[in-house]
Amino acid sequence: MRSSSLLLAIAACGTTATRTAPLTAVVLGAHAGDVRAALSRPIEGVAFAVVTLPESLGAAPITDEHGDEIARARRAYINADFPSCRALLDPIDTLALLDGHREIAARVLVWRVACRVGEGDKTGARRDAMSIAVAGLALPADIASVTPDVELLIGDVTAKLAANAPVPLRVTARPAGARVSVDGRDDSCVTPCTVRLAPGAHALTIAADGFTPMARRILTPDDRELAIELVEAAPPIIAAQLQLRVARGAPVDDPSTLALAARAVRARQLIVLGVAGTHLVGALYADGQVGARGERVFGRGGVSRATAEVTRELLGTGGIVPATPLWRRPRFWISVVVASAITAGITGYLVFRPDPQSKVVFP
Amino acid sequence: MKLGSLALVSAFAACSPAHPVTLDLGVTADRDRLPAGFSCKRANGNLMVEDALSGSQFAMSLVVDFLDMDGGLPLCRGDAISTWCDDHGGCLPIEVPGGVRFCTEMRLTIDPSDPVSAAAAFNAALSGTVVIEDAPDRAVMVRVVGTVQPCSEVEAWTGTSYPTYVPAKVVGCEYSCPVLLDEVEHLTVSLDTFDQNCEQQVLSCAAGP
Repeated sequence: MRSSSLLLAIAACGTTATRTAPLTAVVLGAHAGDVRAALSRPIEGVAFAVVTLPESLGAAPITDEHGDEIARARRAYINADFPSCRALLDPIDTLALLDGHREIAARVLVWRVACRVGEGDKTGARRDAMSIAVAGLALPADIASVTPDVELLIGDVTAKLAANAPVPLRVTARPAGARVSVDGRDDSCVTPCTVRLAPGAHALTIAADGFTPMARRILTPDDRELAIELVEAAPPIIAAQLQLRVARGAPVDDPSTLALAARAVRARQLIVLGVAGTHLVGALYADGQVGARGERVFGRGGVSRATAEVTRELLGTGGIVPATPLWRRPRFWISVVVASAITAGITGYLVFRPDPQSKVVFP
Repeated sequence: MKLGSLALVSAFAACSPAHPVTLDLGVTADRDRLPAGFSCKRANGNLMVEDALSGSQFAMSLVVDFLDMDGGLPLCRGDAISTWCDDHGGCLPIEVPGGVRFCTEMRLTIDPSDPVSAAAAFNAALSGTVVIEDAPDRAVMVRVVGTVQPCSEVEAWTGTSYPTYVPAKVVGCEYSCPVLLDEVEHLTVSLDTFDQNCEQQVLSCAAGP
């Protein structure tokens, strides 16, 4: 009777609890398909709702924006039809183009300068040339198609602007730690910070993970301070930020990455899995805390097996399911057998080690 | 279980490696003179070893003992060995397997006026002779005694010890440093003396530390 009770107790220890609601799983990085496939079946009785994030939205799409207008303006310039040229290019907001399309902004501005020079509008031409100089734009290949006086004018304006001292602009944001990008350049500083700008109009973008990026136009030296209140982003934007963050090399199990993932999929409890080189890295995130971390090198079983092992570890360590008892783990028994064999070997050698037969002879 | 243990022991025993140890008499590498412990003179000025000489006939028993160091390896100086043995049972000869200690009766024809050729003949006669097939696996001091007593008088175990040597018949003696024979490949025996006036050292050596 007692032995049967004991057997039942041992058997109960080996069973795993079944979770009714599926656990949210976010898969990031390479081999996402393999990881998703491995999670399509329940592991330790837990089913998974695998969330597929959109492909990275962080990078600016390659675009031919305003290409048509520029081509037509170019033809108008060659035909000395400068009013048509201006009519095509003047409506384009070059300041808006700076964020992600600096080369297009430079092309539009160069042709605007050229058309205005052709038309004899030197004031307007200098204003557009100033825009090129203020934004620090590199001259595009189109500069070879315009008259030399256009390039001279841009060079002259740039040189005069360089003679002026840059103007400091204090940027603050709430929450702090937002990235500031000026005129479409890579992150210029992190708030709170001060950037030094050439006098003129500038386009600033303030962005932070989990918040909607904000764009602002400022005019230096009139504007000396910029304070931004960031607003929480919608899940699709957060998802894109998450993808971009991981693509830039942030660890999958980093607390910031996990927090972003939780907000992107609106889940209080989730596991995040991602491939980093030859490792599958995973973490369990619950109620704002990292509950467990796991990592496996791809073995013979590849990504699928590593996924199952890491997930099993996360579920056990994180308390989602009872941890697998030691005696149910094959590695435990392999270790026991190997250790026993080694111990027996050493003991046997020490006890029964061969005694050398020393034979003494005269040389 | 017993069978398993037996098999394990047998397996290890089968693997017992052979370990040859060469026993060198004296420190002279060129072997052109008698070893130190066989070059001592008596008070009358004669070499002790001359007692073994009758004309050109040389007859001597060479006995090898393994003295029990009681598990320790004291320093090799005479006083260190003497003190150690006083405190550890006297460093008596160990009974070898079979009970009969190594003893060989050397009978050589030599030219008494030519010690170089005599030493060479002495060494040649001993060369390759096996002292023991499986030496004791404990700390020992190896002692080589030359005596004109026949082997039959000294080689047999009496039940408690080996017979002591008759001092007047001892013609030479040498000993090694305390050693574990399983851990050395060469062993030299000698006698600490600065000159040939070493009869007492020879007798002390043969009587035991």
